[in-house]
Amino acid sequence: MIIHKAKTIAFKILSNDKWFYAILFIIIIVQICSLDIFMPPWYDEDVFADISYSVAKHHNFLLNIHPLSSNNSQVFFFGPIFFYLQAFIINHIAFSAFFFRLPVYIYGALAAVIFGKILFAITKNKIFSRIFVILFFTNFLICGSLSCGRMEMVTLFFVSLSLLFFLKNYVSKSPSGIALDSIVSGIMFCLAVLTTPRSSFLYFLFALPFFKILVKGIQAKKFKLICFPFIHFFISFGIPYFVWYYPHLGNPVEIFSYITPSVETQISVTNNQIDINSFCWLLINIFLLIYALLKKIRLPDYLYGFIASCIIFISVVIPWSYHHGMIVPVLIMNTVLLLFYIQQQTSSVLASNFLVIVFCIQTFFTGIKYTIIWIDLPSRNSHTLEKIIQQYIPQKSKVIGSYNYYYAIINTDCEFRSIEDNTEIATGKPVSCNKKS
Amino acid sequence: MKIILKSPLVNQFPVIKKVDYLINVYKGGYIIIRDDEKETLQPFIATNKFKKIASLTIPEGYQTSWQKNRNKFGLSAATFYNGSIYKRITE
Repeated sequence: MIIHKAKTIAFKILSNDKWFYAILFIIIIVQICSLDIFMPPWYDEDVFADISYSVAKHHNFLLNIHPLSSNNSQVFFFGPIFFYLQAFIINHIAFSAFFFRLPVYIYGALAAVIFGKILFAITKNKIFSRIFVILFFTNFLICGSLSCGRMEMVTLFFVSLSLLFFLKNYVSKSPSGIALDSIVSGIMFCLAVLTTPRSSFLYFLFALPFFKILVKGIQAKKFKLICFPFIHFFISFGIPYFVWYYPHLGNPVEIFSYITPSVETQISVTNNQIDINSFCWLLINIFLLIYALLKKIRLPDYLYGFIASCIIFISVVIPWSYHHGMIVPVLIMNTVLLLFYIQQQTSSVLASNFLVIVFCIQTFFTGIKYTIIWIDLPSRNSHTLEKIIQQYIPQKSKVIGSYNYYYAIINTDCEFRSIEDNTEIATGKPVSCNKKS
Repeated sequence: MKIILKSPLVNQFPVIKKVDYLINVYKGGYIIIRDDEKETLQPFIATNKFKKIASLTIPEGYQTSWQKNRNKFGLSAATFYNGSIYKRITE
């Protein structure tokens, strides 16, 4: 009874433009106002902020806060897009937790809109796009990923755009403009790889459709069709390799030996690590998939590919910090698609009831998080912190400190080194510190 | 994210190297550290080259009701920026 009432209210809100946009606007405003106070500056954010600061001020990729663990070498592993973007903000607007996190949030919000467009292209029903958008902005892990200063949301934006350009032709089976859209899709994925190579795992989203296109091309002896997957793959990975990774990290063998120590410590299956949020959404995907199969509901091939790619991502990418912020939106998209196909072909309400319960659970936890943030507001005041620091630490001083104080120290015109610079970033192994900074 | 090496024997070598680097090569003049990172601070204090000059409490003498009640939920007293500033003693 309660679920039925909740569903009726939810449907009314989702189908009414004014209500939907008003609620979305409030959520976005609260989240943007919380960016600065969501969490204190932390390890990952400081690492990325410091590389961005080096790009902005010294045109290099040195990680100055960790001279030992980075061995005084430039950090080229992540690709340049995120750092150039942040360097632009640092040079033209400001350098602070808020302004470092804001572009991440904007890219994440745009990614949500693009995923909504993908869903609309498939379902032709705005309700399903809106269900996705609401689930996206109320998800605990995604809220963290939007506010943490890491690059997942930027890469997600490019991946979602790549998927939109590819899928709109694939779904409609329209040959017009397929060549151009495939090239644009490849370019977008290339930008995602140049933001972080971890996005490569999301390429599995394209694997099944490309395999089908390839088989179709071979059977029909259409050279153009056979070429599409290879062109897309080359643009997505070949260009980042020749433009960035080969000049900076070397040939594939050198890259492989460079990343091997990290890979050993960063595979989730071998390290028995799961992220509760992404794992729960994967279980929801699997539950709905089994339900759909039992009800003999016909699902599109690419949806199987999407779910398989999520399983691969979750099995491989270790869920340290917000790494899985990249895959949870895909899992939510899969869930909405499964709901769409289940509702289209059966009169069962089990799937939609289940989704209402999931929504209530995740909104409850996210609501608690934001309530705590605003209750704690007085102790999260970074402006007071900067004033105290200016009082005790003169400009141009050399400071050793905790990650929380990074922006405040840099904005006091001091040098900053992390007090925890004793482990190699990826491997955790100590490295020599003979080199001078 | 960093790996925390649990064994003190494993930790000893990099910690000595780190402290040596930050004090003698980088020549850090100030340390600013959170109150809950005393273990990390300890090797620096052991060099007798730093003295505490200020405590950071933001805002001064104020605790939210949430912070006061965290212990009831089994959580440590959360502080966002509370910590200490140490200055290098002139040699």
